[in-house]
Amino acid sequence: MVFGIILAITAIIAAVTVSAIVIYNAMVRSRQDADENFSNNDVAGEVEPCPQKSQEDANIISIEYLNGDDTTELGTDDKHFVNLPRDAKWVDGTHVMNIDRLGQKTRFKVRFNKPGQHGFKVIQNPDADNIEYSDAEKGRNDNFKFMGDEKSYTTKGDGTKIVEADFFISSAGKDKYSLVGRDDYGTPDVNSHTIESHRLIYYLEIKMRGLTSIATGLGTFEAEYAKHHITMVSAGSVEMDHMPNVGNIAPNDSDNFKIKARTVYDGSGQSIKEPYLVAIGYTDHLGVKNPNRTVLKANVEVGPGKPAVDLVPRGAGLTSAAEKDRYLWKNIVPGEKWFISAQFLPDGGTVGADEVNIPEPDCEAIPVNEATPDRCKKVRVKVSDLAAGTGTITLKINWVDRMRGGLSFGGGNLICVCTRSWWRNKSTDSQNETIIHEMGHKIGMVADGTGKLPDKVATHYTGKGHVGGHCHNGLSAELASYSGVHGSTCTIFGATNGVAVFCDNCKPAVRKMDVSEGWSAF
Amino acid sequence: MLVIRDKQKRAFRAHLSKRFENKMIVHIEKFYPDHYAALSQENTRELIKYGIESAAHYDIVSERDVCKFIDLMIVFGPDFDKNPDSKWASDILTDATHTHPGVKVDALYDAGMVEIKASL
Repeated sequence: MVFGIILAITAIIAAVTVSAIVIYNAMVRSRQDADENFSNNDVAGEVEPCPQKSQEDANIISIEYLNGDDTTELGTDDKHFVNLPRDAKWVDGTHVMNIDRLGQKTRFKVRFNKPGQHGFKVIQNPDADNIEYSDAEKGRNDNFKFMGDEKSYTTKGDGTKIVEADFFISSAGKDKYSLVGRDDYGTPDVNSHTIESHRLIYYLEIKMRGLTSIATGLGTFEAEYAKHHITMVSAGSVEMDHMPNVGNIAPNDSDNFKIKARTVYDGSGQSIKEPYLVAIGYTDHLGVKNPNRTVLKANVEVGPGKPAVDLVPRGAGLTSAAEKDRYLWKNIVPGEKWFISAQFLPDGGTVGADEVNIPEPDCEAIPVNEATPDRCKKVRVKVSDLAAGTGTITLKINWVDRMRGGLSFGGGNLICVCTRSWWRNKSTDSQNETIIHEMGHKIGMVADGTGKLPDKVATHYTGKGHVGGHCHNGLSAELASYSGVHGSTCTIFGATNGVAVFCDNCKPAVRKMDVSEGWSAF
Repeated sequence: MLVIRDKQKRAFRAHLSKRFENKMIVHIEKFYPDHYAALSQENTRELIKYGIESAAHYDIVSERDVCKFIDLMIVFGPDFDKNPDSKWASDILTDATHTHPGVKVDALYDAGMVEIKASL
């Protein structure tokens, strides 16, 4: 070989400008041509294939997942989105490249080296690291199964066969499958490339106008779900009217929030992504008011020269029997005051007749610190203007029952996260943590082994001071209440805990979760 | 009994090799038309001959496998198997675990496609 010629050829090839996608497609097709039209005989062998040889010399040369049409085969290992149905509307050219990478059913093509009707068998080869569903899980949900049977086929007269929908993979993420083909003539097995299962969910951000601390990015949220092969894809954002609080009492309740959010959701143009679209609403406070509570303090000395008296609101919660100090419902919703009334009843006086009203200006809310002047859990009552004596002070107030970090609304595709809690802005990290938690509920966590869900997570609990199903990993299962308890290690514990990852108990359930049904609009 | 003399064998081999070259010419023109146009048929034929020789160093001798090897030469350059810029290729070609030439070539082709896909 003349060295100079090869140098020249090298230079010519280097100068050819062809886009990578054109080259890639050319490689896919030329490989197919090599497999179909070039023999296994030596380039300069001694024996030319004999045209008289019979079908026994036919051999299976490839089995491959199809990749967009009946003639294009998968050229490399690739992702496969199991939750999305086989519909061209989900092919976005970015995450999903073609319709054959959608759904639990797979299509593949088998080719022989020569025309004719040739028998062959196919078996699907699950990776050894695939998640394993229990029999109970498979009994509850057919989508938890994959085709594990060997099936037999015969090629068409042209020596090829496309198998359309006999083989399927499970709904889990992070699983890998390949196909093995074996002909009836003793040729070595052929193998396909590998597909790896993913799930894809779109999210639309709904931001209240006027909020100053909306998360600047959702990278932590996307990364956590990516670990479990759930690809979270932004569908953009829209703005809605501001609400100072979303509580559980009209008009600042969840229903009102949903109505306002739904208006902008409908106008976003993203509903075409239903049922695989989840709306994430950013709110101001998500506080729950416990109204008209009574706070008493007896044996109080009042009268000229007497010092002011401090009262600390304390009591059980609406969802928890545990008694604890409570914050005043102060400057959360314009027009809603913490103060209702204050009275002094002298010792020996008659209830309903002898009480003395204490004016509101004489009842001062005392902040916990200067940084958050509205965050108060003490009331200082001026008593020096009262007639001298001893008795009981009775306060009627509204206090904060609890502040929610986020909500996952049942029966629809809406979750929300607060950007302020306890009168302070929440950080981007904290909001990501909350969104991970609430999206976890949306996909079915914490699994309790009912319906189409995976088996019950070992550290699953309901109630115990929280609302809904959560995970207590890191804490004893024996605690009567998890309200106010620290040390949990899972993001889907029932209260904000600074953890933005699913625990080892929850990880398998997240991976197993079937999200093929998606969600209807809220 | 039919006796095939050495001279006849050499002629037969030359015939088969020429037949493969012709087939490869058609293949390259069809799947890599821009490269073929730039190279001309004469240089393409030289490249094919060079490809047959290079592939033989790795015991890659079947028509199917040599075809794929030459395809990779078109895409990554005639000396892609020795070029430090395509070390992935030499790693596979010298990997002793690939004992079957067909398996080796398929692994090589897979790796080549991954390289191209990475540049999409």
